[in-house]
Amino acid sequence: MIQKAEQTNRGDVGIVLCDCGGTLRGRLDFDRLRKQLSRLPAVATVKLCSKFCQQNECTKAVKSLFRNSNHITRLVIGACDRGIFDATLHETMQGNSLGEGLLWCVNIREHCAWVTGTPEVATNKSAEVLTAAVRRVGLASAIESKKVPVNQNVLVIGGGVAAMQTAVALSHLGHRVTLVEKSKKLGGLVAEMPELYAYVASCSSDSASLVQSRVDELIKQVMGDKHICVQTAASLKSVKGEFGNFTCVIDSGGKEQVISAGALVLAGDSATTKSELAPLVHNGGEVPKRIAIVIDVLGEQGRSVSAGVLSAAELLTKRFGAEVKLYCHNIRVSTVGLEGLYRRARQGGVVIIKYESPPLISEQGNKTVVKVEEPLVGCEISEEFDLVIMGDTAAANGNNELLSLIEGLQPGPEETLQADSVWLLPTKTNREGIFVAGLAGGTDELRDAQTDGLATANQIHELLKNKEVEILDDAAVVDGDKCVLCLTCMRICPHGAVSIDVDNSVASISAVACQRCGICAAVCPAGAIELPRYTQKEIAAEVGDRPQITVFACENSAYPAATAAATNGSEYDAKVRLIRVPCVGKVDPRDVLQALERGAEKVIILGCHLESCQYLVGSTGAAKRTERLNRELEKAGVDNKRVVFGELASMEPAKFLEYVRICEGVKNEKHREL
Amino acid sequence: MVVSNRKPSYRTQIQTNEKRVCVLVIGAGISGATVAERLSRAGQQVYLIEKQATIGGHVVEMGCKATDVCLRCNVCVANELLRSVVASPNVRIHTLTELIKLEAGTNGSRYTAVLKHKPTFVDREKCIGCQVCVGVCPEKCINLTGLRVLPAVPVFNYSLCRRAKGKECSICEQTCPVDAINMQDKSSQSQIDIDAVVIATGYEPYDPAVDCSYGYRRAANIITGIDAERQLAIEGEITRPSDGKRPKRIAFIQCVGSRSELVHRRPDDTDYCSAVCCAYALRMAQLIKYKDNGAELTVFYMDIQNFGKGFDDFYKKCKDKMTFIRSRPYEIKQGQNGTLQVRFTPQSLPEDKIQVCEQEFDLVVLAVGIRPRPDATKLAEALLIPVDEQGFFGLKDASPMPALQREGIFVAGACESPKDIQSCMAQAEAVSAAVISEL
Amino acid sequence: MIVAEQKPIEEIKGYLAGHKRILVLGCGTCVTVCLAGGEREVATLASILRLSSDSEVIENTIERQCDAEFFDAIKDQAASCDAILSMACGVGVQMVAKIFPDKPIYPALNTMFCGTNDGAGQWSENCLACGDCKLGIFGGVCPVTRCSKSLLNGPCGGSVDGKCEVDPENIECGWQLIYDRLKTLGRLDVLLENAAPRDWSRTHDGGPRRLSREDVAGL
Repeated sequence: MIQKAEQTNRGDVGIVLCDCGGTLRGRLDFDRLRKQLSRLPAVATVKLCSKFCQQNECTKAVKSLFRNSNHITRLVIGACDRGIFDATLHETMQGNSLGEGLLWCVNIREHCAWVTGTPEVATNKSAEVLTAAVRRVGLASAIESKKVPVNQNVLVIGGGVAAMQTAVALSHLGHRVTLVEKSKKLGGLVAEMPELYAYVASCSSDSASLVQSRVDELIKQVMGDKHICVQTAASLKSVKGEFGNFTCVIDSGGKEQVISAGALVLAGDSATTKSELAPLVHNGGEVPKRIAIVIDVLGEQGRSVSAGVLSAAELLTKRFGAEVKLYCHNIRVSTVGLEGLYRRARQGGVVIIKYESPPLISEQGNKTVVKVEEPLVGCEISEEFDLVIMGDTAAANGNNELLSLIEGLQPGPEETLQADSVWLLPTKTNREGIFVAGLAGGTDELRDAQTDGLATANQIHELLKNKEVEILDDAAVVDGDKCVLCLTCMRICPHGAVSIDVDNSVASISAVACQRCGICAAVCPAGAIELPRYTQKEIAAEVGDRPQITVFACENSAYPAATAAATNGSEYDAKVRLIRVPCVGKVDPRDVLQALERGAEKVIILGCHLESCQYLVGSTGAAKRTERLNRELEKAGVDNKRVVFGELASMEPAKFLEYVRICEGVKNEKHREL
Repeated sequence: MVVSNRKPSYRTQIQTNEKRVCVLVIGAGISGATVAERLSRAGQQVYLIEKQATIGGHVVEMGCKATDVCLRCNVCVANELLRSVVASPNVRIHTLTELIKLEAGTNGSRYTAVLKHKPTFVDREKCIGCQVCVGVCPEKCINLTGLRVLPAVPVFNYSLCRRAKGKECSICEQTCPVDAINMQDKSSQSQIDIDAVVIATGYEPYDPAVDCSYGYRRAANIITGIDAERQLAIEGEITRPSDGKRPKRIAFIQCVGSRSELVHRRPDDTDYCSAVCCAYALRMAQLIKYKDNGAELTVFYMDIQNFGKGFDDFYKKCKDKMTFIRSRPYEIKQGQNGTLQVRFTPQSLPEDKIQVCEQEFDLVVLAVGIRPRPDATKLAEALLIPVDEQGFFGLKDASPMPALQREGIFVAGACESPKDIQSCMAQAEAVSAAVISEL
Repeated sequence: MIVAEQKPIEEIKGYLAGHKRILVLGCGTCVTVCLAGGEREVATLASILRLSSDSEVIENTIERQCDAEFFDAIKDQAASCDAILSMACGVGVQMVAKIFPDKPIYPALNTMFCGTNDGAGQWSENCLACGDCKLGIFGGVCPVTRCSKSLLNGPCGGSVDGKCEVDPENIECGWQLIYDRLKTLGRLDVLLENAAPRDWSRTHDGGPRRLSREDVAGL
């Protein structure tokens, strides 16, 4: 059904317009704006202000608005980029009774005045955009805030340096921690072989003792801390619940224990590495004379492998007098001290051969032969060794178990537990309240793993420092009457925030886990899901009855890029209207079609590059939906060049301009020189 | 009550019995800004000081490297953080400000910091970023840089100002609608009581003009990785300085200013890898190739360093699209029409002969590394903290925080050791935790 | 669940050519769940039709189109149109035709199969309503649908590496699945007994099948 843009006839909208210290007076006719907007039946008063970003001006303007009219229950602000006055507005609205959600900000500076050539056209655009905001805010619902009790305790899975550091840091920040380690001892991989971190100091033996003492210190801190409960020989059996209220079952020597926690940290190891080196290094006695260590065969290895093999090679050469040759494709040295170890190893007599293609290894009698295309000499060389060690890290299957235990946890490459998105770094996962540290997240270096632990502790503390978490009740909402339990939202939600409420036969969206991206609302086949502030009606009202060039702009990429384009001095067609969305994944094909039916010449959907969507799958979903829609439009004989999907980042104003100017057909560069 | 519409939906969780303390963060690059932002969220008062006129450090000159896929360069994440820190309620930003000394605290705080402020001429708390002053200055001495962070506070180049030459002029002051400009602004000092200091002064890119045989700044068409980043970020493509045309044959030379004894500042310094150059060079190379499929790219390297997730696939793609030559060129000679002859000894020497190879390129990009800032030693002395063998702050051992041997002083970011954006932010997050738990 | 997919838009437009006012009617049960004919798809299709033709297109969605009672709500709307495009499965389309015998009724979907959801946006067939379900002796895997030849007593010679020779890339050998499942249950002995041919009289053949519950029918 075409939703006619509704006009509220209640006279309850107050508008504040800021002329940016008077600097916009030359670009916008504020008197005309005031007159035009005052005539709208929904508008009670229009106030002009000069410096909305300054505290006293902002407060004065808003107060006078409410003084003038008792009926104002909604507010529209026409000013500059919200980031500039956000804190000020927040301060002003403390103690004001205006409900959250009943305010909408319009950027008439960067998105109207600055980017439009003539004042008349700019004023027309501003008037239309502000009118759309009035319509929009008239359909908004108040959003309550609520307090959700949370468990301030944390469950850490793992017993190595990452896990221990996390636990210690959390305890220092006031949290109780349960540490669950599947082996009998703490210390993890580092404790097993401190000799393999010979880069930590400028002398290898000092390194080993520094590493050992660090591990010992962590173990001592963990064991001695009354706020940390350590469970060794224990493993995680099940995880239920959500951020703030996880219920986990661990199996400790056959006995089951239930642990409640507000957050989970996955800090176990994932690799089975160095196990071939360890017995060799610890073995005081028989060390073979000629040893070859081969790496980079299973794929390019990381810093920890380089560190391990160099440490081992140096040790075997110096302490045991072995002849060691290291075959590799690239040596990694990108951690402090690793270059020094590389140098020491070579000075100590380790020969390093960097190959282009992996060597061939074969058994010949009681020796093993390594044949490699030797680059420096330019021909094939075969050498015999008493022992050949494959030093590569094999991706272990250890993480698969955790993945199946934790519903909705999206893995990353190489079976890490963190999806490959820059927005999750350093230690978040796609699920709120579940974090990774160390190898589980792909951090393979000793110090960095501990840094992960501290970073995780900081993030958890920020969320769980009080017994309750105060949130706005603006998570996506499912209409029980319409929901058919098709489970699409549950499967699509990138944050695992949807579950099935069996008693009420409806999909239920968690208030704490929902990230308010709106992807579920855009795919629900029954139209049963709405995202507060971005409901179908509100968006339709904003698009308006006579859209021209409608740009659905993701607030993480296109919207700031548009602002940057304006700040750079660029201009573009005044027909362009930006409809801000939390993620392009929220853009509903119905919204797009509606715009087309109402006469839009172009609908442009601009979001983040697919792999850097802050909600993981939003941008990809929008791209696919647009592609499908365009196919159908083409087959139906409708000009499908009217709907365009584009990817960009927040600091790519040039790309934004490219997309909105495809309508002009003319490159109209009027950049101010910077 | 209206709450800001920013993520996360959780309001900043204020703890009722929160002890309000004050932290000085030195350096407003990505590391300092991240520490400041996190501490602000934790309810701490932060003074974020920056020596330059604009905030954001090196990252504001970097752009998105996406080809048809995101290359995980993290610049967008850094940008969002910078936007957040400017809007953070508990962070006071002071540009053109340096720390002169740190004294024992009076008034119950641990330290008193003495700061030196150079005149900025504009009060950034008042500035609304209207850009009007930029247009009205008759000598064009007001400029906008750091446009990623709003409001775009202008920067004054006083040496061009009429007042610097003794003439009268107050056009900008009069035009500014919010009285944010004060041309009487002078250098000044101030003292603040603080309980902790976080050093986040960042790095200096290696300048190959200083002591390198590659001819940077002597021959045309040799640029550094930093130059390339800047051009890519602003113009979206890389062109030859000599004629402004798109280069067809481009050479990337890795490890310039890293992994070499020749670049040591002090006789006792040791070699190190700068950690970021392989990553940035290969990402830029992929972007260049994506925009111009006809470009021929060659990478001269010693060891390609891996970085982050999915490196294997990324490296494979690189190997398909560019030529890798394991060699450290020893000389670049200028050819005709601005071409460059790169001379190197390739790894394979058939027939037991020493062979010198020469290849011609239209553009050479020197992937320069990260060095400690030249004033790092001075700051270290002023703060009585040690530097390591490469000149970076803190003595490294097996713990995540380097030993600084002073209470309440922390270090974060590339000034601690070479690292990329994500590692800087991770360390900044870790330092926040350390600061909060110590306080 | 009944799984259906939307017909090509050209075919739909072909049906609707010449009609001036069309009702696009969705169904809120099976076809909503399989993302083919629910409220969203109705809105999208109606929009595209409006954009690509001069006809007036109105839209609505009812709970189910396989039961007559749900049509009361849209009787007037239907009466005002000269054609109805039903976005239900074949059952629903026929019901629409029965309720509105004087209106041309067109299907917007191809009803494909009874099947299961393999993940968001993916479905596969696993029951063809043969009327004589013997899933108990096949470890819960249906040989009629999952075996390309509907064999009841073991795989054919074309079962290689658990794949069906008909389409080794996409089709798993149903009999491999049956075997694996019975092995997990420890009941491979079940396979040693011959499965008798199905009672074909219960499968669709020679007219529509009928079902009756004598304790409810005729009350």
